[in-house]
Amino acid sequence: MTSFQTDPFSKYLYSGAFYIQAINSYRLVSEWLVNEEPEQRDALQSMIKDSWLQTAMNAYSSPLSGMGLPNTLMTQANNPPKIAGLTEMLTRIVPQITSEIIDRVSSHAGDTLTLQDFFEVWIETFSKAHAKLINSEKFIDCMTEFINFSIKASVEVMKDTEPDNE
Amino acid sequence: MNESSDKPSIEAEIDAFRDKYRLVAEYFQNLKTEQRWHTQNDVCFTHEGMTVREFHGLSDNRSTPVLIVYSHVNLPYVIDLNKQHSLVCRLLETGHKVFLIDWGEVNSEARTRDLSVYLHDYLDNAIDCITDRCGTGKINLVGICQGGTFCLCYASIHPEKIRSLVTMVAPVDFHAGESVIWKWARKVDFSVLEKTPVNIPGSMITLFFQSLRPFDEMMRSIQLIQNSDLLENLGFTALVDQWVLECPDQPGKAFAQFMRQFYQENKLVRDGLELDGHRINLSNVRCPVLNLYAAADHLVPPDSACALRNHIPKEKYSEVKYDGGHIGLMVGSRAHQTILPRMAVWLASSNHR
Repeated sequence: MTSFQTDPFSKYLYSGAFYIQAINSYRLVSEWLVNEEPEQRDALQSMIKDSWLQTAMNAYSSPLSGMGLPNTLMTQANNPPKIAGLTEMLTRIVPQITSEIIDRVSSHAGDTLTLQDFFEVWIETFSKAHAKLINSEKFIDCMTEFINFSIKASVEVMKDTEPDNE
Repeated sequence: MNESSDKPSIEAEIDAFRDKYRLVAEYFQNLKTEQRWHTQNDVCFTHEGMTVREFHGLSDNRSTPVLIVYSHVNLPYVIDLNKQHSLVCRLLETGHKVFLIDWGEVNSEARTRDLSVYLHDYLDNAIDCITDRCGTGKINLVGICQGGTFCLCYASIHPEKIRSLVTMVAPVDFHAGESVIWKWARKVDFSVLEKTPVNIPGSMITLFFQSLRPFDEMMRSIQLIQNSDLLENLGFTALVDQWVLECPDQPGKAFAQFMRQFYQENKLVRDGLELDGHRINLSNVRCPVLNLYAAADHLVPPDSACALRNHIPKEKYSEVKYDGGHIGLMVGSRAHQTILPRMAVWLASSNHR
C-alpha cells in the first residue's frame, strides 16, 4: 500500500479556516437574532452545511478515496467502492445539525450571545453528530467495504509484483 | 443585540485570531523537532531490528529493572518527550533502572512475521538480556496500550520472570465499552491479509485515528492558537502533534492476527488464545498488577481496561482511574504530577514483596 502525506501543520491550517468560518457564522447569527430575516437564516444554514461537509469530508476523503492504493489501480479496479455513499450520509445529517444549532442560538434572542457561547454550540453540535455517524451501522458498513476492498486490492498488487510471496 | 456595536468587535476578534495564527505558523515553520529522546540512552541489545534501550539516570543498583513495552501502533518516544512529561524520568527519579523495547522498522521482512514473534520471542529475548545484564532473576513490566496487552500475554506464559506489572490504558476485553475500533474492525476480512500479508502504511493508521474525532482535534488546535502567546505550551504541543502524526507502518501478518484474534474474536478474555504453542490464560498471571485506565479514553474504553479485575486475584490487583483521555495519561501534566509518580513508587515497593 502506498502512504499518505501527513503534515503536522495542516490541521492548524484547517482549524484556523474552520474557526474563521464559525466567526463569520456568528456574525450572521447576531444579525439574524436582531432582524429575523429569512435570507439570513438561509445563509446561516448554507454556512453550517459547508463547514460540516468540508470538515467531515476532509477527515475521510483522503483515506477513503483510495485507501492508500495507487490511482491507476483504483481506476482499473472493477466496481471500486464509491465515496458518494459517504457524501450522502454526511449530507443527510445537515438538516438535523442546522436545526439544532438554530434552536440553541434562538434561545439567546433578546439576550447576549457571545462568540464563545456560539462556538461552543457550533462545535458541540458537530462533534455529537459526528460521533453518532461513525457509530451507525450504515457508516460502519461503508468503512468495512472500503477497508476490505483496499486489503484485497493491495494483496492483488503484491501477488502481481511478487508472485513467490503468495 | 446591537449590530453596529458588535460588528467592529467581531472584526477585531477575527484580526486578533489571524495575528495569533500567524505567530503559530511562524513558530511551526522554524520548529526543529529532530531530537527524539529527552533522556540520554544507549541501545544495549538488538535482535532482528528490535532494540532494547537503557536510559541513564541515578538508579538504585538493587532495584529490579523496569522494561517499558509500548504499543506497536505508535512510536515509543512519547514516553520521554521532555523532563516534565517523561515517564522515563518519573521512573528514574524513583531509582529504577529503566529499559524500553523498540520494535524496530517495519520492512519487507516484517510483512510475514507472526504476531507471536513480537509478543513472545522479541519480549522474551529482551527480558533475558536485561535480567542477565542486571543480574536479577525477574523484571518489572510497564505495558502501555497494546503493549499492556502484550505484557499480560507474556506474563501468563512466563509468570516466573515477572516481579510486577503495570498496565496503562491497555485493552483487555476488546468488546467491552463498544470501542469504535472494534465496531469498525468487526466485519473486516483480515484472513486475506493473513494469507498474503501486506504491510499497512503508518500514515493510514494516523489518518484513521485523526478521523475518529475531527472536531475535537480542531477544538484543540483552535485553543492552542488562541493561547499561542504561551510559547512553552506551543513547543510541547508541537512535540505531541509530531508524535501523533508519526504512526509507524504495521507488519501485515501480525497486524491481521492481532485484529482478528483480539478485536474480532476477543480471545484474550474468552480463552482459546494460543501463540506459537503457548496457551494464553490470564489466570496464570501471578505477579502484583497495577492497572491504570483513563475515564475519557476514546480508544480503550474504561470497561475494556477494567475487565482485567475479573482475571487477576483480588489480593494481587489494584487499579487507578485517571480523569482524562488516552494520551493524557502518558503526557498530561496532571498525570505526571500525581498518578505516574505514584506508579513509580508502587513499582519500587513491589520490589520488596
